Amino acid sequence: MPERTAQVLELELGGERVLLHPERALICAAHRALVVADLHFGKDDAFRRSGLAWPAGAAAADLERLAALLREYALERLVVLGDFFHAAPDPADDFFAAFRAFRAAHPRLAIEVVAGNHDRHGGLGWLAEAVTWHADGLALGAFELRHEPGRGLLGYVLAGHLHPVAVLAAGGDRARLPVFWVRADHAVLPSFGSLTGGHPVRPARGDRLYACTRSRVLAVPVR
Amino acid sequence: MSGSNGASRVERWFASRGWSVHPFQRETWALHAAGRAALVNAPTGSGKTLAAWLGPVIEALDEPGPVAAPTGPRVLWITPLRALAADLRGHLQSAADALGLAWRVELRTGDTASSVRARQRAKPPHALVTTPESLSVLLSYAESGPWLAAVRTVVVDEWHELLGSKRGVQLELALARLRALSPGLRTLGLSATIANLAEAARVLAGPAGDPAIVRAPDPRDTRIDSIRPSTIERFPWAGHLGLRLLAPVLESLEAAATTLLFTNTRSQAETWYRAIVDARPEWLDRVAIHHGSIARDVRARIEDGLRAGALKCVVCTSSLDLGVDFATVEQVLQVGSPKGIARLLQRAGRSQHRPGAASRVLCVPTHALELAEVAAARRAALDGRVEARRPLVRCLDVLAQHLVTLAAGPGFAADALLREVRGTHAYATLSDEEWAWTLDFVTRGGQALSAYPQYRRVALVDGLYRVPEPRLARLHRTQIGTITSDGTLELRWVGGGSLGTIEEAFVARQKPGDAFVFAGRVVQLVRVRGMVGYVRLATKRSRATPRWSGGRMPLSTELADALLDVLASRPASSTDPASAPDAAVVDAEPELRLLRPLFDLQARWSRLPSHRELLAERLRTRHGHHLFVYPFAGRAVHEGLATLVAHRLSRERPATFTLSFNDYGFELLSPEPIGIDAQGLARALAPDGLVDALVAAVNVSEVARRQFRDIARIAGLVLQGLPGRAKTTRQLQASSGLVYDVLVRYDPDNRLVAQATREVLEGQLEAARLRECLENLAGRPVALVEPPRLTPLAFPLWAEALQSQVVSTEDWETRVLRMVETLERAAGDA
Repeated sequence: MPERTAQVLELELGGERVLLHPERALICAAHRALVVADLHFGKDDAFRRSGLAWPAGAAAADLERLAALLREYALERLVVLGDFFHAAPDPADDFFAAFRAFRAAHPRLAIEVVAGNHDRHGGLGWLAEAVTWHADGLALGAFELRHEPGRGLLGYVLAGHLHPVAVLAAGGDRARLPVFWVRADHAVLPSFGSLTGGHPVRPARGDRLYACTRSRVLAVPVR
Repeated sequence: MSGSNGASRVERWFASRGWSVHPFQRETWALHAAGRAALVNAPTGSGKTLAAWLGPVIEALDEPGPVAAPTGPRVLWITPLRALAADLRGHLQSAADALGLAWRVELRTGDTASSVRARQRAKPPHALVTTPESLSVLLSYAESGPWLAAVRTVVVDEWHELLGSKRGVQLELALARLRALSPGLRTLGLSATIANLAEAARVLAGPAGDPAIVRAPDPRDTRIDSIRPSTIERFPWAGHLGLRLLAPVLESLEAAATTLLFTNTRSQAETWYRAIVDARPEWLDRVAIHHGSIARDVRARIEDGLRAGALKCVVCTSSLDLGVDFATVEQVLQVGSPKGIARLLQRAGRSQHRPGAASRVLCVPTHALELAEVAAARRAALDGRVEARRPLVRCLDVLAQHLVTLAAGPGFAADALLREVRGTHAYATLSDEEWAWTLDFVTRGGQALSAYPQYRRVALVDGLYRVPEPRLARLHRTQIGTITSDGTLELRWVGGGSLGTIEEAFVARQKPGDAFVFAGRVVQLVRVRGMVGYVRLATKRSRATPRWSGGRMPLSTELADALLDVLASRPASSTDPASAPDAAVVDAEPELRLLRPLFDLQARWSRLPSHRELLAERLRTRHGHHLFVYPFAGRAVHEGLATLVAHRLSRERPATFTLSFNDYGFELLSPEPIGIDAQGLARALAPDGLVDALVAAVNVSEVARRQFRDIARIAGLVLQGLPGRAKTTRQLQASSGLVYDVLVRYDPDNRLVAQATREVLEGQLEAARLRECLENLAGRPVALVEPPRLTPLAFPLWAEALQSQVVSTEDWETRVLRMVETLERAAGDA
């Protein structure tokens, strides 16, 4: 990862102050927590096992992005809003080697993972000693942390699942950017994993979109 | 050989039908008997099928004793069009039956049921009609070796359609395999006229082939005419003249019993179909629409209707370019640019069925300059100038797929296969490094130093390369082929029944309830589930028409050349009495007379393009600052030129350009003024350092990333969407852009990345022709004009801007920030 100064965007969500980070992560400083969604670890491993020649390296790079964020903001908890795994993993997956190194470097880090639909393909039984799995979601301060977006029972919902992106088009130029999609009772985080694709969102009136460029988070006007 | 039993039987059969044997047919049969490879150049409807088919039939008739049960098909007939295979099979079978040859002719395509395929393995037919893809699938079965060793003759139909594409390369590899399995195999090709027939014949016949070329005389006369508006008004120069000619088109439809109305894109076909049935509701049951996205059974019904003479008009795309004749077709219309000379002649040939009558195509221009294209196509056709189809070489993606195919089948030994592969035209110059890399790619993943973890697609087992896991062999078979059609959804009625396929990206923009035109009907999206979009008939009207990709065919360079000839041959101004055209020319080329006012306007506001100088125009509109340049070199070359100029200008000063290009020229649009003079533009067009400059520019504009779609799919880096099997492979779906990014980052030496760049340079940007064009331009002064408004030449480019792409050396974030600012202003204004 090249060194650079990222500009975060500070926001109030559900009564709590949070930081939106251009690395597609949300930082909840009050709870010393880093919140990310949709890592899809092991995607390239699954591809290789099916004969698709994808090189390895993405898992280690994504874990290093997490490590850099944890370090920079001195955070103690990592919360993953589902789809930690892409498919049922295999013990020989390149991902596990990278993850063991990450775990060894962060022995006291609490890793809490909400089970996502992809994790239910067979990932749930793994990493029981290193990760706390939450089948339905968990509460964190004013937030309810879940995989699929929607109205919550415990508070303002932070979710993932959708891999939201926005397509900007103006002046003949176009760009497709991952976004935080902030709605009245929930917010959808962009997907963190570097092997994930995106789906364009259809914001409704009153929604807010915050787009991640390489080094900053920009509020995008919603028509 | 006319003394042989079989040959005399054929002569008698022809006589009984009132036909006479054409000399080219007899010549083809003789070549086949002598064991020579041959390429038969003959138009549709000339008897070329019997020329190819009866050679092997005569041979079989001459064999003593009863017909033996074959160990595999003796004749393999390869057709590029699955849709035509069934008709063709029937045709071949009835000829054999009529001659008293007890042969079974069978069909094997992607549609053939597995029970039929199993029966064919156990009880092989005497002749098999198949496609290049199905032939490769055959090679992927271990037991197919002895079966295919029985093949003595392979016929490749419509070879000109395959040549120049990766399907052609795939077939070259399969033919090399067949020749290894069956030494002495004879190759017969059938081709329409192309400029490089001799090359086409050599590629097909392989290195030891020594092919003969058999030419059937074309007895037909082709007339190219146009439907013309009575006047050219000021600004129908772009896009929308087409439907204004609806009234005269309807008159021509009325005058003929059956018309094929060709369009260049499926969207255009939908638009014209709607317009015709709206104007003539009484024709509703007798007008049909036929294009590649319409469900196959619907298309088959339309083809049956054509055969039966039940249809007044079929609006179609290239989906009806090829194949069996519809004897009922009286007239052919071409809407929009003819795009290529050979293509226009081929379409004209669909109407040649009254004996002695000339075949005639009536062109319907959709913008004014297409009138000039009609005149250009007519001149080129009269001169006998047609396009070449250049065969592709060294496609590592197709080679990788072929290696896995063979490894899934009987397996291969590396040295023997390398010799076989180098025996094809496509891989004759394959380097040892490229071979070693491709072998590594399928066995270890492709990294030079270390293998990809857990990747074991192909492995060396007892000296042979095999696919060790049956699961991967099965998956591979579903992926064989070189045609990319990802991102499509099936469209079905809510009540059941398929309409066809539609681009996922189009459906993604529709909300439930939105209406759009498909297969000639206005339908309303109900819901999308998995890979299926469900629709019902709409209650409201809509003109929204889906866009399908791949519809934007470039004007051939031959036609572009002819077009500049036409423009350059016209006097500068009709007000100049010295240049009054000679009456005979005007009568032969009525399109040009009509274009006069347009030329005058162009001359008044700017200048007319000519061979002597390069015309460029610069002006400002509310959209920004435009630079238009008109080399008249064809769309593909202009894409390269636009990219090159944008990159060179933006290197001097960071800038962002939106590029548009068409067959006449290109446009750079910038939010900032484009500070350039004639010398500066000449410098930006200098041929020095072309390839380096292009590579740099190509990287910036991410063309290679887009080009990677085909390569990733063919080499097996992404899976082609499998209708009905979407669930099992859903977790293996990824975009080719993503895999491109991953390779560039984690395996930058991957040769498929290099191939993408090469394909962009050679194929998409036509580097060789681009260099030729730049060298030609270097000798011409640049005339940089500042017209008061968009000129007739500029307007089509400006209208093209929706489809354009961006080249920038500005920081990406600066661009994003500017977009956000623009959007905020727009939101504030609203």
